[in-house]
Amino acid sequence: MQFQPNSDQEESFKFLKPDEAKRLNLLADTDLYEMAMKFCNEDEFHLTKSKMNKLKGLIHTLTGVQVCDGRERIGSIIKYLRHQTHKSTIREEEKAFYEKLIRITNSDEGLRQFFHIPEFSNCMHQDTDGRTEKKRKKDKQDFYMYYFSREFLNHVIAEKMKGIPYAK
Amino acid sequence: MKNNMRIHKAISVQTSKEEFYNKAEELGTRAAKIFKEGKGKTQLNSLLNLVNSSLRVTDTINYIKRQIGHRNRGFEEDNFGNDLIDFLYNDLKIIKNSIASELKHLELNDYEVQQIHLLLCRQFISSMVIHYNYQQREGFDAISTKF
Repeated sequence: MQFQPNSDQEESFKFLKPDEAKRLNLLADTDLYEMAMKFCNEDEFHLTKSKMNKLKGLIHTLTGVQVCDGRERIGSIIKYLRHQTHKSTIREEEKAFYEKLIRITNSDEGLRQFFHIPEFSNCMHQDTDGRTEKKRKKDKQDFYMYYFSREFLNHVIAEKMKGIPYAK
Repeated sequence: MKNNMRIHKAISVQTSKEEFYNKAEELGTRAAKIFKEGKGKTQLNSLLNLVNSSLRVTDTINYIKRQIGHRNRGFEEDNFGNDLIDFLYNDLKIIKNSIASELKHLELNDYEVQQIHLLLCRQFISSMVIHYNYQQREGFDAISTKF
């Protein structure tokens, strides 16, 4: 069975070796899903339909980023979530929900604690644009973090959407 | 024999069992009752296309969850969507584990075990959609004779 990434993910996956891409795919399908379900079971709070769609839209526009954009992209997810928590009209439960999501998707804690981030030194590309290997390694780790955050949020949103009635 | 061949063989043994077929038939019939007059044909065909093209079981499950969220699309009726998710994720996981332990001697890696689950889902959804289309047949005959 050959690994063939979805067309919208090709951009991201072409930077990874097939085994790395397979591993990410496997983690998103198993551990991340379980983690998202655990999160949803513990937290019964539902955002409004429009806010959920906004979050979903944000994640969808981020799909297909390149490895070197990972840090930037995870930053924009967190920035959006942080921005929401600072709104004056926000309800306490909503704030708590966003803060929990930030805690999990933030690269310093959360996901990094759940997953062992492998060493990437042996899978570096040819140095064609003058970047140092250290920077390259960081890029890849950032991409992993971004990927985990995105897939985790995708699972959480799908589960939450199940409970939100759409307007007819 | 290669691992892939053995996996496919074990899957076909499991999916030809009567319980598997009956469950697909049951959910296909329920779908036909819910989606009357070909109402859900596009949705179920999309589901079939998705499960055949995606590389993850959870992509399919997330699609069903979103359809449940739409409320007026039928998946929420009679708990159909939730039962489908439950079967695809939990029941097929049990079958997947039994196949994996049956093929223990092949020392399958995690990726191959995940593929077993995906292939089971493909087989199940395909059977279910066929049953749905079969059940819809009479309805379509009635519509086509009208014109």
